[in-house]
Amino acid sequence: MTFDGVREFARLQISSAPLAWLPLWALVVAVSGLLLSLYVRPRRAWVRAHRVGGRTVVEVASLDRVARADPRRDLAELVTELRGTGPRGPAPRDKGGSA
Amino acid sequence: MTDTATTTTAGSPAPDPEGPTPRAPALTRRELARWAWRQLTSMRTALLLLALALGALPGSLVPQEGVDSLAVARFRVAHPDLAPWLDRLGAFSVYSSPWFAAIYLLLLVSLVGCLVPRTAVYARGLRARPPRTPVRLDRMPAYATYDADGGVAEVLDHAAGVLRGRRYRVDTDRATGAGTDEGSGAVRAEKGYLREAGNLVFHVSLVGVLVGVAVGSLWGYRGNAIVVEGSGFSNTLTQYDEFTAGALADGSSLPPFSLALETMTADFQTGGPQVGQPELFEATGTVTPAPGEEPADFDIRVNHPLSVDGTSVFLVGSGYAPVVTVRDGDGAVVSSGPVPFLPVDASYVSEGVVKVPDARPQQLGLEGFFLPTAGRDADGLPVSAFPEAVDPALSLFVWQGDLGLDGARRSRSTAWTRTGCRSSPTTTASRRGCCCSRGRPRGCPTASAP
Repeated sequence: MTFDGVREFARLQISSAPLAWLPLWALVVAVSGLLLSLYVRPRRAWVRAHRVGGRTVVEVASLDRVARADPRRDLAELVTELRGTGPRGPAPRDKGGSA
Repeated sequence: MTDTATTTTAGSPAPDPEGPTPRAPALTRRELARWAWRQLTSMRTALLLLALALGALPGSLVPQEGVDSLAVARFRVAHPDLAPWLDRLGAFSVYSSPWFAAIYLLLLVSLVGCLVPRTAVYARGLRARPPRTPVRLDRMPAYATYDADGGVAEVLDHAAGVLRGRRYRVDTDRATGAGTDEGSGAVRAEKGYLREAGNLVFHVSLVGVLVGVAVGSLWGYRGNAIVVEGSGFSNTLTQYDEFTAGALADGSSLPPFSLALETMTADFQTGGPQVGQPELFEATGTVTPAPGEEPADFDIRVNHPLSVDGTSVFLVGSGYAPVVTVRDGDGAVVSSGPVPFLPVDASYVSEGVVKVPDARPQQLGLEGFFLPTAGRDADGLPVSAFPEAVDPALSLFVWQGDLGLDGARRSRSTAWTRTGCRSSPTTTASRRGCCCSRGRPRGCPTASAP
């Protein structure tokens, strides 16, 4: 018996998985969907106006579906914009406007 | 507040838009089924199942049968107490175990059962008007009031514009007698519909992941083959040492490519604290995508598989195949060629068997170890000092008897170990040790003169 030499061998794994790209891309889409659902914050807002005597009383309210840091400050900004660019310019600061 | 109908339709995260849960004491079968369905399709269940499916991942830290059965065999030897328990749990083939399949199917059903109604609710919510204005706005968490100069209609038009600018979806309730001095009206607005859309996209994508993985494992296949330098591999079932196919895969119609392996390089660190650690594995050769086509060069390294015809070829290991020639008493060659010896440790001490079925009067089996860099330890036992073949040696026992090959079994070095001679009840096997070094043929009495 003779030991003539050594050759190396490779252990190969041959595999085939159809649709192998699908899980990867689905994961990418899933993460973006998750980010969207985490960063988008639903909010409802109402503006009601009615005439009382000679004045138009405007009421503004908002409701957050997901808790936020300070909903009142956001509402105050909205009110400022509503008043600041109103149809007749700034309202006289006689009354109301509690934010 | 009378807007309950619109509140529940508009992007509410509550997964269960249906009525109250049935009373516990009197559950009819129908109610029970409804209750079970609702539990299964609730978001909570989906999350729980997802957690369980992820929980299976640590399970796969145990070597897997379909991935590397050699590692499983080694694990069984190393942990004789643990292995039977892991077997009972299916831990050696986690992803084909019944409990994993059950979790998988339940998760899929749960997701789909949750998604379909939620998508319908969302679609309705998109078409519905923003929720009606509450009667008492001052009870809302954020509230302000002021006096404006314009009329009601003017103020509302302006507010609608401002809210639209802030990306609200806006709808105006015209006041009775709008534009006149008396009367009232309101603008309702809502934004943030994309939140639920993102939620739905997330869950649809999870279904995509599940479907993709399931299709891949049901219609996919995976096999291992040992290919010695200078020889080839063609992609047919008989060429595999191990082959596992998905339940719906057709193993008889594999893509007809073939490989010719020219060199297999395994480099190891020769110095430093990591001496003997693998540095590079590389297999090169040519690949023929289909019979009659032009062969192309390939170069497979770890994590750089070869891709042919939708099939990937990974390099998962290497080893040595000593070229052994066995001659009979008259000097005629009865066996010749490289025989793969499977590495059993990090220094590539390798175990293998050379079968000589043509030896007369009795068949021979040479069983033992290949040592890439032969040395002896403190007890005088043969060991390998380094994984590269610097000073290779073979340490073999020679058996004579019946090799047991007549049952038309394929010769597989993995499954063969120590079957053959010893297990044959009709002949008493005798064995004698011998050690051969390359280039120095040494007499092996039993091999040449039985």
